Amino acid sequence: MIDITMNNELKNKFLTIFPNLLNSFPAEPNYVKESRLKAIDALAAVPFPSSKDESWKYSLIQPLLVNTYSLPGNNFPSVKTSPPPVIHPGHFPDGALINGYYCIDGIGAGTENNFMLKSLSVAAGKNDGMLTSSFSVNGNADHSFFSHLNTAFWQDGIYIEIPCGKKTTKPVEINIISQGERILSQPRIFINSAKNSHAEIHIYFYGSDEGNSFTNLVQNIHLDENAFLNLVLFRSKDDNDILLNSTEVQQETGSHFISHIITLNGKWTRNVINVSLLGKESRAELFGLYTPSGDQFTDNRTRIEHRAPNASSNEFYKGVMDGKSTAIFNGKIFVGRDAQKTNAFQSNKNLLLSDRAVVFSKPELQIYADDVKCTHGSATGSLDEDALFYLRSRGMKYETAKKILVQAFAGDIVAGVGSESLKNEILSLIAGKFNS
Amino acid sequence: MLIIKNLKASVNGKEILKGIDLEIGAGEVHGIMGPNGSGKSTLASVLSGKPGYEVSGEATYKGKNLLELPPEERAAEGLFLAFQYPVEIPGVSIINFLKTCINEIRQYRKTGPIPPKEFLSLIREKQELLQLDTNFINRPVNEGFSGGEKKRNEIFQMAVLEPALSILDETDSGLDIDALKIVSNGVNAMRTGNRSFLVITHYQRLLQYIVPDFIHVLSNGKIVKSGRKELALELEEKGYDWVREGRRQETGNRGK
Ligand SMILES: Nc1ncnc2c1ncn2[C@@H]1O[C@H](COP(=O)(O)OP(=O)(O)O)[C@@H](O)[C@H]1O
Ligand SMILES: [Mg+2]
Repeated sequence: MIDITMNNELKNKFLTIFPNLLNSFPAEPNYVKESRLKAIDALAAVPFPSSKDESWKYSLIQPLLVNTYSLPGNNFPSVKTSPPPVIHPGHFPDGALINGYYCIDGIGAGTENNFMLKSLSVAAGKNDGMLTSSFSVNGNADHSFFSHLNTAFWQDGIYIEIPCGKKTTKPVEINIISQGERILSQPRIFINSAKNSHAEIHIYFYGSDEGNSFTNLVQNIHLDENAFLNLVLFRSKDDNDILLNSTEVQQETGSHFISHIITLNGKWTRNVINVSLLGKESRAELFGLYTPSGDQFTDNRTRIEHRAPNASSNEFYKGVMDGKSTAIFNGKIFVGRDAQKTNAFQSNKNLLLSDRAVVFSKPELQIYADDVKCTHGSATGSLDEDALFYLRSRGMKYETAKKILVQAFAGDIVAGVGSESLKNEILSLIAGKFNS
Repeated sequence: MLIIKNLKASVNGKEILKGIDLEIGAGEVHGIMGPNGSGKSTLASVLSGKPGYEVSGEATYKGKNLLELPPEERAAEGLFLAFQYPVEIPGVSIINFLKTCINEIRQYRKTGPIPPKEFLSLIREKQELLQLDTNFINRPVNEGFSGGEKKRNEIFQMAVLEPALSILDETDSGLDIDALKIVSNGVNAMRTGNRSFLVITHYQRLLQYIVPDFIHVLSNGKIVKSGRKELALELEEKGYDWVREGRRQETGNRGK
């Protein structure tokens, strides 16, 4: 075990242990090794985040710095032979990662043949063409410190492929679990939606019971022509973990991507999603919901790049905030010169249940094409007193009325979750969270 | 049913109700008329418990001090307000909204949740009474409703909740004659036994359909005139200036 403190020294420590680490992946194909080397070079050139960086300006960085984390020093990658904790009784996930290690037991037997799911290190060993391009740092990562860190040091992860023309009959479920105290884990997920495929994937994050662990997750998603993918990223456990998640999405012609990034709880969360609409008539819909309370922190950053004509993007992010929580929404829309007839919409709405909660909402538009329809809006307010009174005047207790209004506010964000049971779970968790 | 004594209400130090005395017996229908800004809606709000008023005086409802109860308990005790301006509640369907209300009221009354079948037949019956199409109850509460639909929805809710005392605040405004008839029908269907109504209106038109036992004229935060139903016609003829500055006058006998 190597102890690492998340500060400016972190980088140097990582750089020092890197040669050792590289030797501990003897079986890795060259293209993966090369991507690690490139990421190390990139990492060397990027400073540790500070509030001087534009993208960290309003973020609470302090919680990142206070702990010393344990990092597995050698003998990885390795697999986890103990099964993951049971999260939904009577039902196994299709894939699970514990502290970044792939679980081989206690996961769904893979009864469906309309998708393929395996350990990322196993998949990478096959030298798959799609993985090769995804591993190139410059082609596919968001150039941030933590993405480089993940690319250089990822332990293992999950590779999912929905083959050409296949359709999953139920959501593919992945659990990302952290166990133990002050563990730094760096899992990686690749999703490859082949042409004309259709899938819903749920990724659940469960922080550690012991607390103060740090998960630095990176996801690479590719939608080939006319593929459809509905991705749900869900964090609901009230834990003290730090979760950093960067999702890179690339879309080809006619593909349709939907994301639901839902953060109901957890001490510190930063969700970054970057979508590149590379093919014409591609479509991205990004939904986000964050409900921090107490001193929880959520940071949602989206970047949509319109690189092809006749593509559309819709973004709806909503926050319900209580206590002295802090939230950030930063939405960038970039429309390239060739992306004529772009349709881009963005909306961020925040409901403040406490006057000590703080939200920073910032749209950023960069438009270089001239035939573009782009609208954005942002609104922040408290509970509608007239609506509260209306409900109470019909016999509803104050708590019930408040619960109903919060659920109604959040309802349209989760409406597009394909799974009814997850939708209801989310809504009842929200109601339970704000019932006092 | 309801006894109001010297009821005063102010908002931010501005006095709006300046001492109201009113008594509504079980089974009675009282009309309140008055010019715009005279305090009619404020009276309705204060009686139903809207926060934000400094209130003094007394309001005794079924022997309880009404002013001490939060709005939801007033509703559970059988008080209902049909709002002059019903609020839009996006994302909450009428059917779920009503089911929650009924069950919360039943919880207060310790009668247990309503059986689903009973609930559905109650809804269906009242839907027919108000001539609402079947899809109506699945719409979000008041969202995008026309003025008339909102008013009809208020009376529909009243019919479903079956309150003992209903306050209707300008339910007639924004209704065409057909809608007015439907709404009045809904109200009249409930005029049985001990139910009482306080019907607030600016025009006497509504009171031709919902015929009151008594009429009161509110002006500048006070009841300046009370009388039998004929008072409405007299008011229509002579205008509100006739009573505006005067002291409270009684015409006819208070009865009962
Ligand atoms: N919340 C408020 N704040 C300040 N003034 C108010 C408020 N509500 C009502 N008023 C004032 O009180 C008076 C009575 O209003 P209202 O009760 O709505 O009259 P009506 O229903 O008879 O038209 C009006 O002058 C109105 O402007
Ligand atoms: Mg009024």
